[in-house]
Amino acid sequence: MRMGLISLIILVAVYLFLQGRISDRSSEKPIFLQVDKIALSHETKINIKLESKFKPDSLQLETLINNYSNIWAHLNHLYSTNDIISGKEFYTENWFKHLTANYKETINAPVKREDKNHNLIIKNWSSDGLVCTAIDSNILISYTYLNHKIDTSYISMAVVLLFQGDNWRIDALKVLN
Amino acid sequence: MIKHILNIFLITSVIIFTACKSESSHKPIMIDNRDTIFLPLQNIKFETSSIGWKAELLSFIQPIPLDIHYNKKGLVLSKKSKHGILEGPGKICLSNGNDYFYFNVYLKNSSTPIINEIDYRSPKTVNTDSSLVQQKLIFKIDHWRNIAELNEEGYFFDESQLKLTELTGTYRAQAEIPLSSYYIQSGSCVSIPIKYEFLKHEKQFKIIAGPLKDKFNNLSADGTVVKFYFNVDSKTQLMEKVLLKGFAEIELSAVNFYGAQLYAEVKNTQSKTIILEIQ
Repeated sequence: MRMGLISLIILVAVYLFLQGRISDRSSEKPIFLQVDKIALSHETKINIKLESKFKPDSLQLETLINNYSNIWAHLNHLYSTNDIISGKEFYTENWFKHLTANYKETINAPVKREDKNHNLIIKNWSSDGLVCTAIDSNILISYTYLNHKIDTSYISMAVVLLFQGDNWRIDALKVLN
Repeated sequence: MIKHILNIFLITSVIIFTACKSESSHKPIMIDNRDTIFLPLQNIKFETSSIGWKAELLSFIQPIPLDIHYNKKGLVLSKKSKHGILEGPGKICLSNGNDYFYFNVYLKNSSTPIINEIDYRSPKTVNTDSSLVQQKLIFKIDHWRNIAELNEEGYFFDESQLKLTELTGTYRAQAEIPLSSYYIQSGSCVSIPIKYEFLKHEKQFKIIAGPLKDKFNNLSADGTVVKFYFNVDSKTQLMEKVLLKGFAEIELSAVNFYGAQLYAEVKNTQSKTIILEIQ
């Protein structure tokens, strides 16, 4: 009787242990609990010029500047790692799909890129605040190679940003020079 | 004696170390010295005498590993993928051990990809009480997320203001794209026709308000709240009904509400006042 009871308890304990192991434990926290270390450690200067018919208010502008900085933090990280996942909150679905087309695995590219300065000219701002088109003029970019050699260059580009979810996301771009 | 042995050991170690150290790789030479690379990638040939290379193509946004084949002259880089790329400045990076060599190139797509025109409208829902003006943003994006030029060279974005029709309905900015839908809704009703009839068998008054229309003759939206105020025996009572297809109706007992004065109201618009009588 006693042995039977002990066996039953052991059986239940083993069952519960195995159930616990096979149950799906997602380690990914919801986005509002996540700390974006890549974005936090990124620093750049973004100058804004408004040329749009509809003008964003100061709060919208502040959000745009923060999000655009975060977008660049993740673009730089993507450039040297091909890690398409960590910045997904700053990519639209179509942009993300494009990244997956050239993705197999993360790699450690021998060049790191940093964006030092932006001159973001807002060309269009939708009246509902969900679409922003802009020309980012004379972005100062530096490339650091493994031998610590640093190259800097200026680049201009057109960019389409969409406000989706809680933040601005990059949807498309065109390098102009 | 010990000193001699130590010297021999030291010299031997230096010789072995020097012999084992790999020779530094020479920079491979790009055979046709291209400054623009088209994707999907055609073979890129490099002249080199060494093997053991790794190659990556750094596009403006992400690194793409390349396949390497060796031949008598050197190596050939290729990529089986037929995908295009986000055009812009890039680098071919060749590495061999601790040696890294970079070749600056400009990346372009070899074929014209599918280009989609985006016609973004704002606001998406317009009421006929408003000015009926809508913002229209136009830009073109290709299959690989490159912004394409509009008809005029050097222009990527266009904006205009549209005057919309005053007829309510669901419209599409781009006929083939359901997501481009926008909505014109009726505005405030300008008058409330009201009538009643006596239902003999039920001994009830049936009061009908409608059809309610806006200034452009559009039926007021379903769900609009119509308030019926009726005054009987110096007491004012209220009953609310929602509009369906332009009409709202209530029924009142003839016993209790005979002689009641009644009118309907939607926001600031009132109907005429009627007196419920048995006709």
